[in-house]
Amino acid sequence: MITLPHYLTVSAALFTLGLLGVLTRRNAVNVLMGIELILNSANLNLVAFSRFGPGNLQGQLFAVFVIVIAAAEVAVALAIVLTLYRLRRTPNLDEADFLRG
Amino acid sequence: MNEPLRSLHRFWPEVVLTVGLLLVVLIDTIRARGRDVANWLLTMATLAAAFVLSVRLGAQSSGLFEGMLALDPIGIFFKLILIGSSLLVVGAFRFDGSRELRGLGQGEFYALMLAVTLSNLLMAAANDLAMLYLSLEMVSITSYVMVAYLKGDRLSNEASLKYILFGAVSTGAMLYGLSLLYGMTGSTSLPEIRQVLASGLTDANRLTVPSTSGAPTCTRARPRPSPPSCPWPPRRPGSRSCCGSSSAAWPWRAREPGIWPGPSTGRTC
Amino acid sequence: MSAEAVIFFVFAAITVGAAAIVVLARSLIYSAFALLFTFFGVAGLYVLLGADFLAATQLLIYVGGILVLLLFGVMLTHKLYDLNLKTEVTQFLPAAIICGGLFVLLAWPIEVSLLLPRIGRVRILGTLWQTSWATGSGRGPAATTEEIGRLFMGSYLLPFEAASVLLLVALMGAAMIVRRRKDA
Repeated sequence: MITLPHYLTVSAALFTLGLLGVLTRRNAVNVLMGIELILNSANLNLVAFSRFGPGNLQGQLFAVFVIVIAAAEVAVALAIVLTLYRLRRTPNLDEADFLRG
Repeated sequence: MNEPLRSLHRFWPEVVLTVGLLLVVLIDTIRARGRDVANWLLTMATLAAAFVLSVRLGAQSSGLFEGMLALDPIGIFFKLILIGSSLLVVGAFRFDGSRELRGLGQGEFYALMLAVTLSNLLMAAANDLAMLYLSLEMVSITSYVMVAYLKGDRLSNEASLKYILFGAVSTGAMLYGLSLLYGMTGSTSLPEIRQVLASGLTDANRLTVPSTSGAPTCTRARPRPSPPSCPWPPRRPGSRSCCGSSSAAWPWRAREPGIWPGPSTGRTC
Repeated sequence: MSAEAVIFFVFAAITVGAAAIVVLARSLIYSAFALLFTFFGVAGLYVLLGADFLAATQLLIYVGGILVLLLFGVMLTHKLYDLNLKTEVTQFLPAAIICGGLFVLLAWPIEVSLLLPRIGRVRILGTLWQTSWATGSGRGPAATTEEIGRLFMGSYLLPFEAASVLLLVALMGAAMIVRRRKDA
């Protein structure tokens, strides 16, 4: 019998894997992939709660907005990463160190 | 069905800002001489109009758009502060004679200012988790773009890169928490969440972390600095310890589910 | 095991396994394609949860939009003749310990009881399994598209319109950032 905590466990695994990607990767595009994993885990949570919990659609609508926002955010982030590559010839985050004190 | 129309009566500042934003974008596409001056004037006029309209909103509290926004005096106060600060920024900004800003599009700056003001107003009044997250991200994404505004500047680029990565990760973690909040309360509307929380979650209904359950009856609490000897409620004769009676009287502070096991200096049963 | 459980575990394995490849693969291209499978797995879980509209949205926007955008990002941030799109990993061990601990704290599925000296019996079970979530009637497998459409035009009208402003700003901002200066 598949219950709510099963879905929550999958989503927690996605969340921690996304966090691991954000923390360890050097490449900016790869860090963005980790962020997408985190957003997907939250979406999975919302849909699972909507299915097993009160039965309203608020969670699913929230998830739709999250998807839209994720698309906008990735577009802006990639524009910034492309500018970084144009200016520095590298997509690696630890080589962007001008602002080091 | 008339709810949106009724809400519109108390939504004029945001409507004016949206119309001004679209007009600035349209004017910026015209290759005419005075378009920058026209954009500046239009932005100032829009912000001033939004300010005046916010002042005239009146003091009564109401929900707008079926509870998506809550308009009350403190919200209007924050709206005035936010619009006023945007007015100051746009009024104090000068493109002429600046070496850094040469060759940058001015229309985009004004459009971004209007957009960030609009999303600030929405955030100040948001009354639903979806609306809250949406307006928060609107403010963030607009700010990411504004930090990257100095094109070709390495510091600006690097600052915006760091800002967007930190911002995206932290809002992602916040979103995960918001989803758990929805799971606990079954609603995304802030008043409903407050109702559920105020009706008192039982101990089992709380987010519990892996805890020690070794002590026989007395739940181990971390030693709290105050009150040192539980002067109130007074110790009842039947109660076993002051820690036990306080857990009966204070359901909210009943059991601190701590990761750290209580040391041996904790309360004794 | 029922058919639903089998399907769930298949989709969950696809999702989590592909996500692990996204994070651990050395090649950026492998990461991007593993992300495709993660999105598919999550869409399958949505279908299992009865969210048909959201599953379609997930496929259209994530796979059709965001993933393609990320692939563009991979391609545009490397030289064309640079064939090994390798990416290094930094500080893997501390991050793995933190994330593993977080997962155990959140979602350790099987109850483990340890008897430690001086502390007593320690019960390890993830937070998400212990918490009793909001209960209700639940939602059976019914089509959601019509209801979601009505809600978008009804009580969710304002966020729906605000999202359009957000998309306009993001479009404008992304175009502004990548365009070069006039005098440059």
